[in-house]
Amino acid sequence: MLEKQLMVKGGRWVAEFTESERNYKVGDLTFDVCLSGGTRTKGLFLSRILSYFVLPNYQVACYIARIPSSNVISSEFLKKRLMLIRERAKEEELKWNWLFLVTEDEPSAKVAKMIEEGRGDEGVLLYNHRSRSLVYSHNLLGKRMKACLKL
Amino acid sequence: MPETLTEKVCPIRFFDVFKLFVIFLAVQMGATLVMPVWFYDIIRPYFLFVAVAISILLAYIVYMRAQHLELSYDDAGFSLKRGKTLETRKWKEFHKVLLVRTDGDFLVRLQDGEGFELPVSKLKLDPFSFRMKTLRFVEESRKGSN
Repeated sequence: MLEKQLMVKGGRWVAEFTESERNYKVGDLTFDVCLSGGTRTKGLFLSRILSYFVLPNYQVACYIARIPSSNVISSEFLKKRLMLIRERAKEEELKWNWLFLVTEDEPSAKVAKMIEEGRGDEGVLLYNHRSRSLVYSHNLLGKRMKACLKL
Repeated sequence: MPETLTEKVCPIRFFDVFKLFVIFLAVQMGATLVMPVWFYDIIRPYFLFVAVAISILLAYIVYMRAQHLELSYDDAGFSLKRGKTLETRKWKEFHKVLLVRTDGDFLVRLQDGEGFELPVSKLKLDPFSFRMKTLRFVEESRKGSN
């Protein structure tokens, strides 16, 4: 559902995710889904012209990982994942990156605060699949993704 | 191999047939401009009926010969027939499955050395569930071959 939201629905307001791969390996970690694309939207003649002149041409990626419980999230847990994402971003010149963590339980206040105050340029989002609530990093990418997705 | 494949998908894309119909009708309409007047006077009472009938027929023939897609698959492999061209591959030839969105269309891209694209939107399949099916076929056939 999240993948469909990003590729077809609200996610298109943030970036044009054109490729999706399951079980994507980055370093020693495997993400359930990796979406990649760019910021230039396609569409018909006029939207193409507009996006060519107005929008930046950034390459973007979004990593989705299912986790058994939000309790496994710690600063080390996030740091490791974000480090690998940054390394890949550097190698492949990906300008914007998001990390989506999908869980079935409500995160504790400590975990929510950790995600919200996340430093760094990557958008980090924790999605509770059961209650459909979203905790997101209060940086540009996190806020933008939160505003566009209708989960 | 096509005879043994169990699942078959071959929807007729009526909009594509309609596009060809419009092209053929326009060509016939245009042809009246260069016809001798005496000849046009003879065929005028029947022209529209004949032109529409010929356009439908030609559109259907051209569509079936060049654009119609037919996918047959089972857990060992698949064959994709595009018009008259038939390509048959095994799932184990591929190691990577990607879901790709082009201008409004979804493709399932199977990657090995050269790669292969299955036009799932044109086959009117749900791209997300068909990708999962394809992924399962590829993973299982690779496990079986190892």
